Amino acid sequence: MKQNHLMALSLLPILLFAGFVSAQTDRPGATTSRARRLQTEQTRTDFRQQIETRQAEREKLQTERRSALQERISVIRDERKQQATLRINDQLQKLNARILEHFSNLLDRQSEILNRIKARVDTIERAGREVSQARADLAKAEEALTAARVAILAQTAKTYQIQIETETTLKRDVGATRQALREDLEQVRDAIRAGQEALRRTVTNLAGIMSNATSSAPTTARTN
Amino acid sequence: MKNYLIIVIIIAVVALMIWFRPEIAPTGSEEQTAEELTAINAELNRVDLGDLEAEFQPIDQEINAL
Repeated sequence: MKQNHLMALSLLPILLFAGFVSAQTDRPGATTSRARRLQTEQTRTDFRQQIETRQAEREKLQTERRSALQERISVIRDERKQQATLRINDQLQKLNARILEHFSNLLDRQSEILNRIKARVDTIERAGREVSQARADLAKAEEALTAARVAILAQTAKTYQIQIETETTLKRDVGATRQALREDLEQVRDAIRAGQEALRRTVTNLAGIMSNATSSAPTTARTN
Repeated sequence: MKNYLIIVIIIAVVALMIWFRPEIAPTGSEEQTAEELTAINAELNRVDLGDLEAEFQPIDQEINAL
């Protein structure tokens, strides 16, 4: 009999530990969060690979176009202007790449934030709150982030070539290329901003659900 | 044998209580959620989209000098 008791007592910590581990790792919420993290990681890896491929294609095209520009630049007699034009051309390409890298990093952060919000919506839902509005907000935020990802990929493939006509129109020609890049980058920035606003809206609405739940809790208790 | 059964039942009950702990204690989760939402909001506010105008300034200076 004593042996049975000892066996049962030795089983106690094992079962408690198993229960604890199970509660920490195998709850539907934890599994979903882990799956989401993996999916986000996969999406990010795919996205970065696509960017790298397009960057390589763009750099190849840029080199070819720079050679063409060097040939075309002979219509300008002023050597100082020739050098300045080539320098501006290089600066435009570098600026495009640098800003796109910044936007890609922002998008990664937004994706992580989206996952954190999703996990919180799950928690709130498990507590018995109504979360259909939050789910709709999340879907919109996800759409906005996808649109931003598409915009970054499209921009990564673009190159900007200065089309020189004559020396007298040089300033205008270079300005037109600069303007094209500026407008394209503004579009990508607006897509990132839309994702940012969608996330902010989701968080604000979610905070509203939480505060309504907190303020209505004592009333419910009194009526009961 | 009876004692053994009682111990097994106690273990099962304790394990079940651990399993359902988040559901029977939603207040803690709500506090955590509120804190997390505040943290997310702060992080969203920290996000800097950058200043395109400032980024283009050195190029604009070069263009103006052409």
